[in-house]
Amino acid sequence: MPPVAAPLASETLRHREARVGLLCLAPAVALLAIVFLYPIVSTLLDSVSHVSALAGRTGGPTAKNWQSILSDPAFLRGTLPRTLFWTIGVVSLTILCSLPAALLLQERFKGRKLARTLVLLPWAVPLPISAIIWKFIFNGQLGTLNGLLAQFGIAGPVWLAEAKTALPIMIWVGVWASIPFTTVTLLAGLQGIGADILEAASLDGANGWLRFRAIILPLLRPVLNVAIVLNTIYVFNSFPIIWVLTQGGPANSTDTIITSLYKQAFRFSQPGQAQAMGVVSFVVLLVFSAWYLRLAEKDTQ
Amino acid sequence: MLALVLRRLALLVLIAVMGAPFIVMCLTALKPSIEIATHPLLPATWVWDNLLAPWRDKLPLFFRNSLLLATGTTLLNLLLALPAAYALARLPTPGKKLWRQALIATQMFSPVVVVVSLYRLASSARLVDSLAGLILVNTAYSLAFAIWLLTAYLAAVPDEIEEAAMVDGCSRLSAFWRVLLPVARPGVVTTIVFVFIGAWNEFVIALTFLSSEQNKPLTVGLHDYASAYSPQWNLLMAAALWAIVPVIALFAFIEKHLAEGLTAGAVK
Amino acid sequence: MKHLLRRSHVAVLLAAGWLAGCGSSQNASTSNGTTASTGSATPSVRFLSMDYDPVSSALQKKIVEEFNAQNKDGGKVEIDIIPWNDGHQKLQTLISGNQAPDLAIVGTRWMAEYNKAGLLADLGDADKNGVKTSEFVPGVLKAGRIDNKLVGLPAAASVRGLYYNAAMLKKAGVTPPKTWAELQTAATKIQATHPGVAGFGVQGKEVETDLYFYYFLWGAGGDILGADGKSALTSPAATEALDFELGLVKKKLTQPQPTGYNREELQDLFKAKKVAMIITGPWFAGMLKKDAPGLDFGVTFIPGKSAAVVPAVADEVVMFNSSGNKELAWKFLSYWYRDANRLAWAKASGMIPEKSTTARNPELTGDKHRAFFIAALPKGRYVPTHPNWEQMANAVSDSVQQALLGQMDSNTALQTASTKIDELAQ
Repeated sequence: MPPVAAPLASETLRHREARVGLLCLAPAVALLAIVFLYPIVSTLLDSVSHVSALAGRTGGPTAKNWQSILSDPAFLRGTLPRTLFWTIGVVSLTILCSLPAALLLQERFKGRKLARTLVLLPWAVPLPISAIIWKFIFNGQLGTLNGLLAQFGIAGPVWLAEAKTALPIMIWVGVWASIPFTTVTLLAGLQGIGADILEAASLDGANGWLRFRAIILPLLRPVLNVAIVLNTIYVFNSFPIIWVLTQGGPANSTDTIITSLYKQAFRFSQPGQAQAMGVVSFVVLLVFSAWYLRLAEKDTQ
Repeated sequence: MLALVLRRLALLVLIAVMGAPFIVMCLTALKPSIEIATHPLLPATWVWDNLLAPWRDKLPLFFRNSLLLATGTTLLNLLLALPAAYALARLPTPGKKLWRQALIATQMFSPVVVVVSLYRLASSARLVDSLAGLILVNTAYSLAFAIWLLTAYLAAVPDEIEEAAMVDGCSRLSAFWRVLLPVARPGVVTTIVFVFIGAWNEFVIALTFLSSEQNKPLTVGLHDYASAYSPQWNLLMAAALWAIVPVIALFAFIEKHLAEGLTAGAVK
Repeated sequence: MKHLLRRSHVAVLLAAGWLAGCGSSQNASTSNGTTASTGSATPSVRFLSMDYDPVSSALQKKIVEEFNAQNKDGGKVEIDIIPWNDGHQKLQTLISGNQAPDLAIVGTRWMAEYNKAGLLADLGDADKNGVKTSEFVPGVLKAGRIDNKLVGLPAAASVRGLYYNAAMLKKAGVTPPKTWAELQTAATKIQATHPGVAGFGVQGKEVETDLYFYYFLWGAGGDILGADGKSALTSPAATEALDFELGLVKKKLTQPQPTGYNREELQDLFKAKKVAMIITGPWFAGMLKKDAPGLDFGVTFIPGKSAAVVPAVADEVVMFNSSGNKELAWKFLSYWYRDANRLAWAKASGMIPEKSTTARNPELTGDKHRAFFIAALPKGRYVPTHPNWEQMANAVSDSVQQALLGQMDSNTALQTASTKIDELAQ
């Protein structure tokens, strides 16, 4: 065998393997391209076109869709700020509940495995089904909550009849549903920190809180950032909870961009406006993620 | 000591709150209809037959559809994700970094934002109101995650193991099949469970795409029943109980891998 | 580009179809109407129907099965029954995906929209196809006619009436109210003699929230659209009507928090003797007899400001132009409209027969409550047909809800609805 032949052969092998690699990727990439790229392009185009629910894009370009959502006070002063309120509310409360939950579940005790399983369980349950159960619990006539209140002689209200009670309930269900994922993420983060540090910084004693802030929190920061970004994306885009509990009612007072979009498209035959709302929600998330990740980067530096 | 008691107490409260809806679900499922309004917690008469009632109704149909949907999604997903993950983990594929970033980018999207366009795409391909269309969309939305997870597991297998197999005369394919995959099995199992649960739980696409009752999975079937005029809550809860049994079982099965699974795409 | 997309789709579809193999082969014959209509040998007709209640849904399915059984070689009908609340949305979705069914039950309020888009087949030749139009109750076919084209046949007709708890009225010493003033007095007296009972029930959620307001709007002599096709909700009559509805709530003569109650939940309150009077349709009489056998109730016309109101709602069966099997669809319709089937339907659903031949049946007229509604149907008043009606109704519904919640006074609420309606009217 001549000495030069070996590297040459491995060079062609490398080329061949690179080709095999691309070939292996191709089917997955093809499906992703169709299911992601086409709808995104089509959503953007629709938002600046005349679109009919029954016939699709019929002409354009037009600013009509944007004008009608941006001139609609119900959207600008209702749905949009409410969506932010819902997202920020759910995400911040979730983090606030999940941090202690993760710390509690991190400790060593008998039955820890079972405790973890029970707390994380709701993650596996379909959201619409959880939401149906909560809807029953808060039902005005038959619900568990009002049934219990009645035993104390209190006539509970119809919880989902008004935004002032329905919105907090929605947020509560959102938090309840987000806790498992967040807790498990934070648990993973805590595992990464290592038992000895945690032991040293355990919450016992008077300055437990200080130690938590000084030692654990900074170490947990990267995972916390991930939990915040992912939760924000999930909660912002959340559909089943609101859809099952109130469908955005009464009088759109519990709508978020997502449920409003869905109704515009499939109930009120305004696909153009729905698509414009889709673009809005996408832009909001993009801006948020970019801003937050930059902030997080600066933070760690 | 006091702190310890408080912490255990807090843990109990946490567990109670997270489990409360499921307790309500079970208790309501076992009540006769007339007790729903009068007995908020324990039934006075336990009606175990309520648990069987949904099986005499539409539950078998919805259950079968959910099963087909989740299994189909899982299989198609593996079929596409395994080669892709192999390419990213173990082959000198060009543009690896770019591909990975593109995969993360897809995680930003929720199907509900582009549901109108997805619907139109599916209908132009005549895939509306069919499980096949749902399987494709579900697969696409879980594919990035699956590739990511599998890549991490496949990359963790030491090169020597695969090389040893190939020196022994295995082709790349059979080395992958006989050596790599068994070593990375926990990862494959975790991926399967995640994708399966995700497809089992999917709601908005199924709600939008499907109109025939024949095709509806549990999530949509139960939602329709709950939003019908006067749902019989006890039977609805019984059906809900059955609907969550498979995912809970799977969940318990991979619980110990859950953390790495959930965070694999995120932390890296 | 489009072709390319489609072809790659077919490839992926094949893969997915293969994967889901066992499933699709099992249900291909029953569920996949589109494949059947494009190529397979036996013709099939897809019928999208709506869910009225479990009993009548079972009957709908039974009728379809019976038709299929006796029409073995002539093709089959596949029926899907979906909840009303999702009905418009689902049809919209199907139509926009070129997946319209052959036949569908629709609210009269959606028909104009579909007709304007050229989607609905002309049913004018019903008589030639075995559905005798002369057998329908006079006037009821009006609801299915748009611009002199018959696009819908009545599939479920109802008149709305005031149900009252006779025992409570008696104890309170009042007779069934005929005017608003009497309604208010009756509610007051009932509440005085029955602590914990609401005198009158108001619906404030979901389908027909707007209709509950029209009961009063029509009772005040107002209307939704004027002769010019624009909103008539800024009229003094409209304000008076909404003020009356809101007044009942504010004076606590209704159940608290009306926006928490849809039509069925209101009915449940009446059944539970928590509300003494509500407005709903003929089906409720049968439900009461079954679910609350001891409850002594009566039905009368809805009180107006001075004269009674007779609101009617007809759900219609329509045929889509895109249907590839109109012949089979008609064959099914003529079976569907057989007297025996319509009688069974009226008995199961509690709806008023839309055919005089069925309405005369002593099995129905022997029941005094049913007889009341049957007699009222020819006098029925319907909501207008307009291509954008669904959105208009939603605007009214939103405004009524906001008024009920106290977020808007009646003038602002009606003004807001009017503005939206006028935009939609163009």
